Amino acid sequence: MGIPVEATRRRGADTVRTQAVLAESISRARQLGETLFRINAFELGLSKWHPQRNPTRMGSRHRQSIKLVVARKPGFQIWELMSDWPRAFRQIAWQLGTRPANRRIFRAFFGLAPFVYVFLYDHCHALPHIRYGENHMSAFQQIIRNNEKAILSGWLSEMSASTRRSDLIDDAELKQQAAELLRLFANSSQNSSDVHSESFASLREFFMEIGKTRMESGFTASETAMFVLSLKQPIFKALRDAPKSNPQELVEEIWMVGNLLDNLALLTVDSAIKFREQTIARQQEELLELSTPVVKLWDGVLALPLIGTLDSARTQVVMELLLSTIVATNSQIAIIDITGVPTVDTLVAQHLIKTITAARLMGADCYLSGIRPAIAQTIVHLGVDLADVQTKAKLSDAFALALSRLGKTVVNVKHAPVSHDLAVRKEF
Amino acid sequence: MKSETFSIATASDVVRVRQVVRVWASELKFNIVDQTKLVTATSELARNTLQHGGGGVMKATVVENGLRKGIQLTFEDHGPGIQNIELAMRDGFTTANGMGLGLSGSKRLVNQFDIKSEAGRGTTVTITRWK
Amino acid sequence: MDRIPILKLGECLLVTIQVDMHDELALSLQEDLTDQIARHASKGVLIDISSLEIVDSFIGRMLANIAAMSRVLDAQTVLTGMQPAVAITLVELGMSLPGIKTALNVERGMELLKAYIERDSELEEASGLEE
Repeated sequence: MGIPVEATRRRGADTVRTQAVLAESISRARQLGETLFRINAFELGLSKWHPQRNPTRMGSRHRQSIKLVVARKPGFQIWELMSDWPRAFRQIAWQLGTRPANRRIFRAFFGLAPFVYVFLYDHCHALPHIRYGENHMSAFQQIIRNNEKAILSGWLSEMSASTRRSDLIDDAELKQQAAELLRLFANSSQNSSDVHSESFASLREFFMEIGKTRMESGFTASETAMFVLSLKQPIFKALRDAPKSNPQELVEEIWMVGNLLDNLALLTVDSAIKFREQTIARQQEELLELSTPVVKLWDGVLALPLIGTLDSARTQVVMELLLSTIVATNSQIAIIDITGVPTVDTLVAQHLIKTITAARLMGADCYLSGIRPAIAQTIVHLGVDLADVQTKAKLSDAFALALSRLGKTVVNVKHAPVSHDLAVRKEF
Repeated sequence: MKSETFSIATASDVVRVRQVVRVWASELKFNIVDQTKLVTATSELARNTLQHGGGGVMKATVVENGLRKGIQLTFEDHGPGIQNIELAMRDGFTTANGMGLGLSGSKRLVNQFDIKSEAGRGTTVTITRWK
Repeated sequence: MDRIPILKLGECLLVTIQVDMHDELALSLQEDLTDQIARHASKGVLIDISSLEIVDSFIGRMLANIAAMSRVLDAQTVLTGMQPAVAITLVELGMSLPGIKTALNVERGMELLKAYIERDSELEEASGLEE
């Protein structure tokens, strides 16, 4: 995985040449997209590199310059460049220290240790395209593509019986959805890892669609989310099985994929919830319409049976409906029946009075019927003034009154047929 | 944001701003009752501006609150101002032989009502009606 | 200045308000009506507002005044054709126009007026007989 860095062999070697060699190695590494370097252990010559004895050959303070010259001694072990240099040179020191003959070298090395690691580490990070995240994205995409079948089957088996809901969705459709999702996922994660960015737009749309259709079929929000989250295990497995240069890499990849899938699952849940809210709002509207019908009892007489509580919003609807029906049917009398209104408090009473006054202004009279004893008490207690409102206990009484106001009356017809059958027989 | 200012200097101006607000409200597809309420409030406040404030301006703006749209009207005059706002907002209180329902009534007709007045400086009333 | 036309229909006067009235027009209507009632000794006044889309407190007061003045002049007043939106707004505004008789349309209004006039004349006759 790493590229051994050659160095000059002899002591007192050429600074410039080492620099050139190092630079060349770095550019080679850049081409191959490698993120890690390994450097051979170097033994340092003692006397020449001592700071006090060779001031001119000391590494510069400037981090990015390579002024250190090192010599290679055969037989030394190779070690990795680690991100924390204390650990790095502890290991080096251990290597050096185990050989009694090298103790002096060891001491000398300590003085120069910071320079050894620092410049290469900086070079790693200074190289733009070798940034950690991006490298991992394209590697990750590779892994998905290569293991698509395995991931798919792993995913399908991962969905446990409870979240699988085979009663709501069949295998073929599920497989199709899963394949589609995986494809979109691989494509989208090419450029970035931000779920809300442009490259994820098609994936987001797909998730909104799934969320909606699943809610319509009858899945719960958590079942829909599990569909996405159960993808984690197979992907982790694929990542783990792919060859790695560094355990740290695996952890980073798992973290990133986990994050992505979590965000996507949240998206699904969001759209599922939004769907539910829309359904509720629509149903509320329908309920409102259904619960305030205005019926025509007779030519010129309307009835408005109120059921349920009267709040401001509903009163508005009721008022408008009643008044427009009065105009449309040319009715002079409207009977508002409140048998179905459980409680009448000041607010409800006010709403009723407003409705009645408005109708009166238009030229129609309102009668209030269906007043239960309890409600009568409440109204009196509240001090509500129903002086100019005609009230009746029963709707039938109110209707009789309305008819008499209109100058109509109900009479018995002498030869009224008892039943339809009789009438027919008589004709024969 | 659509916004326009109209001057209220004569009685026919009161009619004019009524009609303007009616047009704006119907363009925004307000329901007929809401339209009537807003226009009636406009009429009341415009008349106040003219009769008590000695003339002024009405500024109309289309406002948005997320998905909801609304109309905001500001009536401004530099007249004598209102001495006691609380008293003025009471039903039946009138200083001009009116019915005393202009301010209090308008408040009931709109969603948001705000009044600022300083004796000797003038009065500004802002009302908003949402769709 | 244009004035609102007043039609004579037997013992009644018929007024149809079709325009958005400004204050002066409303006041002149008041004057004209009282004038005509006195001149023709009318027994009834029918005011049709089916085309009126706005009734604010000023116009409401004007209507109440007309009714009061007519009563003084021994005539009944009936208001017809108020639009639902206007009715709702008036109620919200706090004006219930008590003492003003109302009817759904001109036809019903005329029937109502006739009934009232008859009843009034009967009452007069009755009281006359007693004397």
